[in-house]
Amino acid sequence: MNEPAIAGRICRALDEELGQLPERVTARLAAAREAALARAPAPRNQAGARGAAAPTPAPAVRPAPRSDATWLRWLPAPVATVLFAGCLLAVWHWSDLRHAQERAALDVAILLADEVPLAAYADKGFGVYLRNTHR
Amino acid sequence: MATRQELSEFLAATERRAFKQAFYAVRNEETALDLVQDAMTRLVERYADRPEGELAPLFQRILQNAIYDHFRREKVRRLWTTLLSSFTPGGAGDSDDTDPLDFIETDPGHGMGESAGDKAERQQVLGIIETEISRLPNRQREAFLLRYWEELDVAETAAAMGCSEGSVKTHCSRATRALARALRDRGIK
Repeated sequence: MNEPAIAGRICRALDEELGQLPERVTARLAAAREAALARAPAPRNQAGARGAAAPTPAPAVRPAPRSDATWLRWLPAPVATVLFAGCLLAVWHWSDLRHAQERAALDVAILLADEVPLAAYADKGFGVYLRNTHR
Repeated sequence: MATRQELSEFLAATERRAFKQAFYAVRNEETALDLVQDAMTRLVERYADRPEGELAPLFQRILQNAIYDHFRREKVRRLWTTLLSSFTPGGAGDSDDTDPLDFIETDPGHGMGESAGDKAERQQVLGIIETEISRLPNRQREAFLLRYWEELDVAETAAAMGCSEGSVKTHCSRATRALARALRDRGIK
């Protein structure tokens, strides 16, 4: 199989088909081209004309490289990462604290109440503690 | 350094093939036109200062990236559509299947010396070729079109596709064989 020859025949057929594109497509492509060219950075031909008259290099017309801007563009990423990690830590801490409080409340409400020796009720400080926690 | 005139001439010479490339990939006329316009704008905005000889591989790279970006966005959109459609009765069906055969103009108004039979047969063959190109795997189609249709050399094609030169040769070979086989099976020699 002669690969380039076959490819060439197929591409010739494709080229032929290009001439049959609908008018709406060719018009849209032309409009797109004009719109794109309108966004060209700066007219280079004027600089070229000046350069032809005077051999000194023309001053750079196009904007300077935006190294600072690109650096600033990436700045929000680490800040967002740190903020996100901070939020995760806060949630984890809050959740841990809540679980500890729940466990403590459970101990007081069930386990401690069930297994407190009778002598404990004679203790004045324990009585104050019970009054405070059940208030 | 490309002047505005050179840029304009380059885009005018490339835009139709670029459109067809995008169309073979996305199979939707409006989307293909949008992708070509995006690629043109990016080329002009960012690479207008490059020498004229570099424009073709650059433009192809930009266009291919635009096509990949489109597919990525489509993937995300499809994911959300699937998720949300499970909440709506009936769901939404895909209606993006444009038949490339429908795309060919039925009466372009030229080829006057050609008989109606010849013209119809030629249109049919073109339609079949386009369909078979659309059916190629993405990378094979991309390599084939860049290498043979855009006439980039192997190194430029590899740069535009972001792969090795060996991969380009493999893709091109497989694409050509697949196309030749498919066309032979459909009676085109």
